[in-house]
Amino acid sequence: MSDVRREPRRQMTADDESLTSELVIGADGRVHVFGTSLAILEALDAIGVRGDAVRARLAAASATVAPPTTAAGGS
Amino acid sequence: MDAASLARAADAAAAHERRCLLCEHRCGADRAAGQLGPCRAGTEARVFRHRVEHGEEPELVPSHLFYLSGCDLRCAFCIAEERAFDPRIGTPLDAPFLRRALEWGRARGARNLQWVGGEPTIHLPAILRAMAGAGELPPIVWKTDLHATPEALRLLAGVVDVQVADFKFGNDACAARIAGVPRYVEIVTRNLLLVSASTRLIVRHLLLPGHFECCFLGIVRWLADHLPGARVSIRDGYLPKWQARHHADLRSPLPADAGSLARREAALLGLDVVE
Repeated sequence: MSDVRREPRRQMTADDESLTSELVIGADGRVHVFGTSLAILEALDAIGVRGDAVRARLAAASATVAPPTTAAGGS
Repeated sequence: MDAASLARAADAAAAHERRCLLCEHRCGADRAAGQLGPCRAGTEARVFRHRVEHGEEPELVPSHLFYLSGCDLRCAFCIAEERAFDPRIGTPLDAPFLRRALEWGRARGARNLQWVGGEPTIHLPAILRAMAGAGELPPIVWKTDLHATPEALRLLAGVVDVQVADFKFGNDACAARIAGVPRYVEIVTRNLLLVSASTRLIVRHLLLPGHFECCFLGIVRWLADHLPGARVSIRDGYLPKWQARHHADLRSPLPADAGSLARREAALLGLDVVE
């Protein structure tokens, strides 16, 4: 444990990466997605990547008519 | 939980800003006075990214993820790299920021608020304060390494609707070598039993190359024995990132069939495997 109070050395805005995704295509052809938007999910579905997994998430997204809310979270 | 209850929970959690016992390092740091424990966090939480995700488990998507910098573990393969470990990175979390961000997420169809990291548990007081002042909240998802103390878990009870718990290692030797944490299995298994008694639980495991026997099998067999039918999300997107190059076993990607083999094994053990 130390007593050194440090000042923030870098300020990022919280939404810097909110609208971006990272795709990595491995040497074996596998696609790794970090930050999956609905558009990316639709693109993956179109090219047949991880068919069942992608379709399950597309179905869940399309089932979201209105986001459910509680008074202030919790159960 | 209503705003007044959240405010009371935040007041109770604030004791940990004077003597922090939120994670099992139990460092006792007086964070309010500037002392830094292993996680290096002060009293302020910072969000380095928030976005509506569609790649989470189907029952959670679309999920509005808030990524907080700072973590109590030091996993060599962490995909978030520096941002996970440096709590000085990001925008300070407070109620006005959270309220605005949640409006943004609602407009994009988010059905829940998911706290992720780094590790959100180390920021529990700041998170509770922000939620108490943020107005109407969606259901709350807590994505955690489950290295929390029972004291922290008690503060979360009734606040969180779903816990998404990482079960990273199947034995203490791998946990100590790769994440620098002792007593890993004892702590995580104790917490899984505590959490599952009161909260909906999804157990996540990121497959690591070369750790099928020592980690994956140990984890799914423990789950089958102690939490039969548990909801399990097996991730096969491992990439050698961050400090993984320092570990010979972590330098390669997973074999292409590792995910399907692992899901089949988990299903054979009676676990509820996420597609």
